Amino acid sequence: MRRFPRENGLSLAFGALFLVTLGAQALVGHADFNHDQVAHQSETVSLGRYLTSSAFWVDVMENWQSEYLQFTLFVLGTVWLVQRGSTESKPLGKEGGESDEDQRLGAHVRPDSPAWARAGGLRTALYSNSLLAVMALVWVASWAGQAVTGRVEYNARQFEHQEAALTLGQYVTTSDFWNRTLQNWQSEFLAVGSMVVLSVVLRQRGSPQSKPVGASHAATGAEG
Amino acid sequence: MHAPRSLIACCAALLAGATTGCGGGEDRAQARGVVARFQAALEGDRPGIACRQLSAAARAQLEEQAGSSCARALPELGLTPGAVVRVEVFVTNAKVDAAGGDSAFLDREPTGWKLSAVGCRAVDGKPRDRPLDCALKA
Repeated sequence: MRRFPRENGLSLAFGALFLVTLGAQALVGHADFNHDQVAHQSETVSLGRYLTSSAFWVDVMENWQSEYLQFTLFVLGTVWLVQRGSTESKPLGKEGGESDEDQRLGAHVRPDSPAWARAGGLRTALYSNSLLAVMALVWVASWAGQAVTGRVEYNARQFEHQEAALTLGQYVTTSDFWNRTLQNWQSEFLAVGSMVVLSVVLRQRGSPQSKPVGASHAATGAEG
Repeated sequence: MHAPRSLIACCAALLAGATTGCGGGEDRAQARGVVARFQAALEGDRPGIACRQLSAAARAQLEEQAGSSCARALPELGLTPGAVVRVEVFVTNAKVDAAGGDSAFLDREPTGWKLSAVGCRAVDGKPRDRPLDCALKA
């Protein structure tokens, strides 16, 4: 029983952190929403109603979409772009899809290779891009979710000010939609860029996100 | 930089709930009912009942701008009742459009849906994203 949590500690810890912080966001978001309702002499809502409202989901979606865009671009970008000295980069000269030997495909598959890696043809082609595809799919879905829930929230405020409601097509051209989008994108790109650059010269003993403490600044793709 | 698979699966499952939040059929029916009662009361010369469909803030605004009671001031607004042609509800706000071109806005207050603005019309030459001009608004 102890083996499972020890071997999956990273997933379990971040899964737990996700659920705890999502729950905390729900509670404080509910309090904040009702505070605003009282200020406008409007009806307060139950936690259950708040959790099924666009007011809650737009805040969740706008953050999810930016995280998955970050991973999508990072997975894609690191295929073709390198950074000398960074743990987030593969070694210089390895840009691109790499050889079958490097990727353990074709004649180089191993007995423990995943079935779709051994299958060849379309299945291997799909599996070769499955991480990027899933990340991109979740990004697009959550960005669409942001648009749908953001429009509902936006139109509620439109009505508060005796303004007309917008269609989804109109809403995605508004400054509200793009402000929600870009304020998240810029922070994600800053975080990724910082990690790429800082990992060249800074170290964290024991972390695979860092080079070994004694590794050269020029060592690229080394993990401690 | 590796996202746990369980996290992805969890996110995908929760995404299914992301599109909820629009007003349901019950909210639309209640908002339509408030406007219907408001119009019927005005047409039946029962302004007291019509006033009870207004939000507290709208009623106070009317009484302040008219310098008289809501029941006296409301008929003076010259509102033109018309059949409800469209009801839109977003979270706790609603807009009801009537056949004559007038619109009414409603807020969901602790006592139910109440009119926060009535006799609202888009003004010619004004951009669509500007507030409608209303005979009364809170």
